[in-house]
Amino acid sequence: MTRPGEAPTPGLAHAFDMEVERGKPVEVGQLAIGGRRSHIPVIGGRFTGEGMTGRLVGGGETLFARADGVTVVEAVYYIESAAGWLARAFGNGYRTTDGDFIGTRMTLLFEADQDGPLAHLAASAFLAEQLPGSPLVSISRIV
Amino acid sequence: MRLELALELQISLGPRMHIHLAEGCTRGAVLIEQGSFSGPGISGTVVQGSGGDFPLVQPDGNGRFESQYLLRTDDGAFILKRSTGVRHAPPEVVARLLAREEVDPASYYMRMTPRFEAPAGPYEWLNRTIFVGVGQRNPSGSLFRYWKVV
Repeated sequence: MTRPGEAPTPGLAHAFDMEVERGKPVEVGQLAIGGRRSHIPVIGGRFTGEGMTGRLVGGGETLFARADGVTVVEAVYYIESAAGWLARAFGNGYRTTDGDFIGTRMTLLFEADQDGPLAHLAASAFLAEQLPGSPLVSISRIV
Repeated sequence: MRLELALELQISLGPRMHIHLAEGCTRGAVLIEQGSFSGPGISGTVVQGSGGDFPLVQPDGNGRFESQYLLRTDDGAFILKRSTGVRHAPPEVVARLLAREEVDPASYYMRMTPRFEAPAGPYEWLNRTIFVGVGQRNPSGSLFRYWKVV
């Protein structure tokens, strides 16, 4: 419960499901800062949610596999609505293979044309989760 | 996915400096004078002079946040906190926030996504956990609550 004058307790509202088609990974190698750098281009995909459907037209996931077994993911996804409007989702998070959670979780922000129908995406923060073996990235709006 | 309250952070802020980038577009810089934090299994203070909040206010009054500063736990560990966030509010609420008036925190949207760099040991879970933060501005500073995504 939120008392008057107190900041609200955040929640998660499912917003989109995104299916990412990934291209061939590019391996940079082992870095002096203590991990392995690689990059996976986004070559296509689809998304649906909040009354919209569309496709992915580009982007990439840049990975840094740390010595502690956690992989840092920096992601960019360019989405195009069925009506032809574009938005850029960007953010970062972690891919874990052991512990309480196994999978990838990231936070994402959006950029979109300020006068276009996707402008509202830039006004919220989002959370993305992909479980191992699932083709879907589930994106929730942080409310 | 669900959210579990992990950390509460109270900071007091110094004077706000401004970088006017373009018409209506301003980067603010507010250094943290002091602060403290606590949550299950963790508590400490904000290291003085270690950083601040750097909000980017857009011509429409909405904004993006960047912050970076250092935490020191009561048992002596240093933890780097970096955060990005979003604020979205009606123009009259933005005006009151910028004037540092007291504003009902339910009247605007302000969410942060902090990341931490903690040493190996009891706090290393911070290095692999995603957080969602909510901020509450008040005249003397800011109160942040961070929930971990579990």
